Amino acid sequence: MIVHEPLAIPMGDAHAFGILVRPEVEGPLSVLVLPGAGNFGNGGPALLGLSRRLATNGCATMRLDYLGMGESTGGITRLRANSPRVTDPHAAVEQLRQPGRTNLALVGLCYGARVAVETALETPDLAGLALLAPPLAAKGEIGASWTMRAFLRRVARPSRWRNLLQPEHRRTYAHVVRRFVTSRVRSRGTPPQARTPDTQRRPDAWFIEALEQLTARGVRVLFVAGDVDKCLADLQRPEADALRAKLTTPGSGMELAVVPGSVHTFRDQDVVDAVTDLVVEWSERIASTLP
Amino acid sequence: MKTSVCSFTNVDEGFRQDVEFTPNGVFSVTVFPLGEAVAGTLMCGSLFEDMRRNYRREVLLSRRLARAGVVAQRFHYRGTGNSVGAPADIAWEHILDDARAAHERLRSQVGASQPLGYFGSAFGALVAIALGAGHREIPVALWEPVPDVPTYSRDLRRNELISNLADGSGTDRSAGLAPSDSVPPQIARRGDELSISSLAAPGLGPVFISRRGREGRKAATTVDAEVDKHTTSTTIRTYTDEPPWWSGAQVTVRSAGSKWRLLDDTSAWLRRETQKMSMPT
Repeated sequence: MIVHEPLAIPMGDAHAFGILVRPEVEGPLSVLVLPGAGNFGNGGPALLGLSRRLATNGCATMRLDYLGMGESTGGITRLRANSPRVTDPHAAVEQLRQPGRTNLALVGLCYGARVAVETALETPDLAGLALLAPPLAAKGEIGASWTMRAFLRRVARPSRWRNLLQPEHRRTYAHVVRRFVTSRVRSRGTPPQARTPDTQRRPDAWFIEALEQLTARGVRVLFVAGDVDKCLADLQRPEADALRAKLTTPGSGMELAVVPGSVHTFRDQDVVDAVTDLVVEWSERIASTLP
Repeated sequence: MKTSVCSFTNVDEGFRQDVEFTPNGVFSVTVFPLGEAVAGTLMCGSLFEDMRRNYRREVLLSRRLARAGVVAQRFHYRGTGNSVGAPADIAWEHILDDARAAHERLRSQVGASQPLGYFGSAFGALVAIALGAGHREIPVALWEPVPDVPTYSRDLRRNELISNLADGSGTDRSAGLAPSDSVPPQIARRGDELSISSLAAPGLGPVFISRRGREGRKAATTVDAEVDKHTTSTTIRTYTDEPPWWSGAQVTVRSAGSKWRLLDDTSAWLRRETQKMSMPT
């Protein structure tokens, strides 16, 4: 039997909202789950499913709605992957710890993985950190605008050309092309630096250094990516050599798991099930080492 | 299922919010005014892909309603959102059962004498119409109502196609629509049975329809004509400053207290119409 507790975490005048799912008899490990960016949190319901599985397995688990999202109060400013928010995750960590839960793990999806790393740096006694499709190269706001490169890449897919045989797809594509041309015409006066540069895709040093610091503290890191996720491609870049070497070296404190499909979107049920199994098994391994 | 109630108050925004899971696992949120309540509104939220896009707007609308003195009752249908169950379990009968149970919770909060209104967003509009049909004393506010399930299923597929092409942010959606984002087969099979024309046939009270931008004009005309056939009065508003339905913009960068015509107009209309209904004729 698991217990569902909706929680309002006071933060000054605002309240961050979380759902704590816990077993009646708790194990030694508690988990905070941090969703991606989005109105309902990218992967929100699927992450709640993950929370329920973890709770069934003995871990008290909280899924957080960031301030200004979901059921939380307050407004939000732009979400920036290179300066992830920390105030509400820290408040959630404190809330989770209050009844004497000492051993914590953080699980973050996409933008939530960046938040998890930032939060982990300031959380003592952290036992584990699971990063689900973390953006390795993130220097801009979440939700970048169209770029010519992205547009052409998508247009070049064979499936697009096959779809042109169907009238419904043709109408849809014509609509997209009209919108794209309109947006490019309108943005003609935009200075070049305001557009998204390709250098964005370089894995940033902060993220890699932070993971090294955390493993040096004994935090067990699980890195999960889908085989179509961009973070996996970014992991092959030269800037990520050291991180890739650690992820593939047994006993380094870091482990890499690749599943078929897109972990980033976390929408395909097979992917959700595979990632849930991985995280649950990882949490079991951590819990088995705790007093 | 074991659960507890969480309650918090925001004085600046003028509401108190109670959140709980019902015994059958439905996530339920009741938003109360800080002062006296003059009416109640049952909010039938959007589903599938629309839930991601509209969720925060619906949360903020419930808080606007509370600030206007109207108790707002929201819930997540079983198998969706925070409620228990899998997307495969979603069924039209369960959706209606959850909505009726939420109606009962709202009625118990506002008392028997207070007037009620219904609100439905996208697919939730069909739910609000199904509940409101035959009750001409209940005003119904709708955001981008879907005309019928086949049209809606097609629109969701198109939305996904456009998002695939348009999304330059690094999101890879090659996996297609997830079960939680598409109309499940058990509902899609109902076809035209789940349409405004058949659900609204017993007659509706006053109806408010809002839509964003100019997209979907053909479907919008169909909806307007069908609603007009069965209602006592229709108010239609278009909000061109709202993000278009296909944009995939998920982050709503607006605070609850900021000026937002869609929310202001919807909450003001519901309050006004429920008050009209409570006046003796």
